[in-house]
Amino acid sequence: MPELLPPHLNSSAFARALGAFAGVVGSQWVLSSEEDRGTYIDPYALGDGLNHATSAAVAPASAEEVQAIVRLANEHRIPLWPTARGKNLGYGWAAPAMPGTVVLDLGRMNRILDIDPKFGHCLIEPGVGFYDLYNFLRDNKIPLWMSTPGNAWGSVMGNALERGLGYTPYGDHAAKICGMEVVTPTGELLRTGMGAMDGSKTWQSYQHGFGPSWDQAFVQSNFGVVTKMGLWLMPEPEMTLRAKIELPNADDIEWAINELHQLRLNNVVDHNFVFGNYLHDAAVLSQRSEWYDGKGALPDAVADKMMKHYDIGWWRFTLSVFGHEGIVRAKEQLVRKALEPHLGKPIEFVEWHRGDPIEDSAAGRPSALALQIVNWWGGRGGHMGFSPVMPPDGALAKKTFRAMKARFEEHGLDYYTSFTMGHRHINNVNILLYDRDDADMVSRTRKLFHTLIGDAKAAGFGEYRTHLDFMDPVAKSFDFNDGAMGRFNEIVKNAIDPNGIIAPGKNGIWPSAYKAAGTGAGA
Amino acid sequence: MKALGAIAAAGLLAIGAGAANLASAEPAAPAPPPAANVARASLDGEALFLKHCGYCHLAGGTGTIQLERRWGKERALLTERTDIPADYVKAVARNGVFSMPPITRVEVPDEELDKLAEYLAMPDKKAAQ
Repeated sequence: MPELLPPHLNSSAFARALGAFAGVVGSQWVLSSEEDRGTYIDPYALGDGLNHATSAAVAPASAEEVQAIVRLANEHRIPLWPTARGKNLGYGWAAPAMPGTVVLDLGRMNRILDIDPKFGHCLIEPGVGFYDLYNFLRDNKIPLWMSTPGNAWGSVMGNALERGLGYTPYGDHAAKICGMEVVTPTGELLRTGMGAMDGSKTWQSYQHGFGPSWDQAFVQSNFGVVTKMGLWLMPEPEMTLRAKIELPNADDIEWAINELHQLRLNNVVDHNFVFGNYLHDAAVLSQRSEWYDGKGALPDAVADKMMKHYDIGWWRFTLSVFGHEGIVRAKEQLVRKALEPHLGKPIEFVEWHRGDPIEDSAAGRPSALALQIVNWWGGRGGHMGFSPVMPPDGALAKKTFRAMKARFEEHGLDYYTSFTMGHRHINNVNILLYDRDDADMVSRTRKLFHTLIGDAKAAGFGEYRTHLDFMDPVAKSFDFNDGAMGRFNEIVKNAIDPNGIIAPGKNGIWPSAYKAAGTGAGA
Repeated sequence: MKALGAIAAAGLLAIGAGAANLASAEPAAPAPPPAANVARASLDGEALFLKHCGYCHLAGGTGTIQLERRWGKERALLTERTDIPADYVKAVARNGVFSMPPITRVEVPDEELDKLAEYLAMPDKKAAQ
C-alpha cells in the first residue's frame, strides 16, 4: 500500500501532527504502519478499496482525549473520520470518504455508563457493541430488551448514527436516541436535549430539549463527534408471538404489501420487518456454485429449485406481536383476519411467555450470521445495499421489484432484495453481491448501482443510506430547488467546522477546505 | 477459488443455532449498579477468544460455516483445531482472509491477540481450562 497523506500536507507536517496526537493518546494508539492502515480498508469494497484508504488511525480513550485530538487536528489541518466500532459493513467499514483522512477510532471508549431499568434507557459510549449490551442486560437480569440489526458485530451507537434498523418495536434505532454528548468540530464539549442543563435529571427522558433539537443533526452527518449516547430500551413484554410466513409466488407481493401496510400503519404490527426474496435466506445457507455455474444472473428455474430444496417461498417474512397477553391475543386475531384468507391456511405462531426460554421470543438477539452472504460467490466476497425509500403500496412494490430484477439481470447479477416494512414507508433494500477479485463483476456492479440511483430518482425515490463510493451521487439526487438541502448542509458545515476537519465528504457534505480535493470540483 | 468451497448442504437448523449460545434472561430482577466492564487484563486466552472471535467462530457461526465449506466439518471449529500456529492466527486476524475482515489493534491489542493466538495454537485446549 503506497504512503498516503491528507490533502495539502507534506510528510514532515503529517509526522508532526501524528507526534502531537501521540502526546495525547500515547504512541501505541497512533496507528500508521502499513499493516494497521490495511485494517481500516473496506474489506467488502468494490475493488481494492484504496479510493478510501486512511493515512493513519488515532484511538482516544475518553471525551477529553477526543477534544484534545480535535483541537490538534484543527491546528495541524488533519481531517478526521470518526468511527465507533468500524463495522459498517456494506457501507464502507471504518474507512473514510476522502483518501488520506485519519480514522478517529473510538473503539476504546466502550463503557456502558448507565442503565435505568425503571425508566427504560441507557447511556453508552461509541465502542459498546450489541453483544456487550445484550450480555450486560442478560447477566444482570435487567428486564429490558434491545433491538439488534441483521449483523450485530458492530456498535450500538454507530448503528443508530447510521439509521440502522432492528426488528422489535424499538427497531428504528435513530428514533430511540435520547440525548448525546458531542465534541464539536472546534473541540468544545456539548450535551444535547435536556442534557444541555448542568445537573439535568432528564437527559435520557425527553428527546427534544429547549429550542432546536440537535440529536438528529448528528445522525448521518459530519457536524461533530458523538462521545456518549442515550438510547431507549424496550421493557420486556408479557408475551410475544412470532411467525415465519412464506409466500409462494412472486406476484404475492402486491396483496401482501397492501395488507402488511395496514397492519403496520395501525400498529397492529408495531415493528419493522424484512419482506425478503428467496435469496435473502438461500445466500446465508448456501453458495452459488451449489446451484449454478453459469454466467449471468441466476435463472428463475434455478431459483425454483432453491425454493423447493429449502421449502421456502419466493417471499418470506417474520412477523411478531409484542405486549400484554390481552393485547397480543387481540392483535393475533387481526393479523389472522388480514393474512389467512390470502394464505389459505392458518398462521403458525411460536408463542412465548415471560419466563420461557428467550429463544422462543421475538426479542432481538445479536448475531453475525447474516455476514454469510458475502460468501455467495466464493473467494473474497463483498456486498453493498441499494436501498430506496418508497411508499408502502403493493402495486408499486410489484412494479418496482420487476423493474429492479430486470436491471440485475441486465448486469448479470443475482437478484437479492427485501422490502423492510416501516411505519409509513417501505425500504427496498437490494443487496448487490459480488466477488471483489472479478474485475468485470466489480465493474458491472458499479454500473448497476449508478443505474439504480438514476432509476429510483426518476421514480421519485431516494436512498436512506449508502456506501462511501456512492455518497456524492446519492446526495446529488436530493435536488429540490437545485440542491438547496445540500447547500444548507454545507453552509452549516463551514460555519461550525471552519477547517473542515470532521469527516469531509460524509453523506456528500463537503467542507470548503476539502471540496476540491474530495470531489474534483471547484471549491 | 471456487474449488475451495466444499459443498455442504447446511440445513435450516444451523440458522436456529445462531452464533451465540445465550441463556434465558430472568425478568423482574432488582436494579444493578451502573455497568463496569470487566478489566481486559483479567481475561485469559480462551475468554479473549470468546469475546473477540465468538461472533463468528463458535458452533453455528458464520466463520465456522465458511471453514466447514472450505475444509470440512472436522476443521470448522477453531477450538477443535490442533494445527493452527499462533503466528498464523495473528496474520489472519490482522490481514483478514477471504470474507473475514481484518481486526484492528484498537479492537484487539497485540497483547490480547498474543494470548488468544497462543490459546488457539494449543493442541489440547480442554486441558487448559
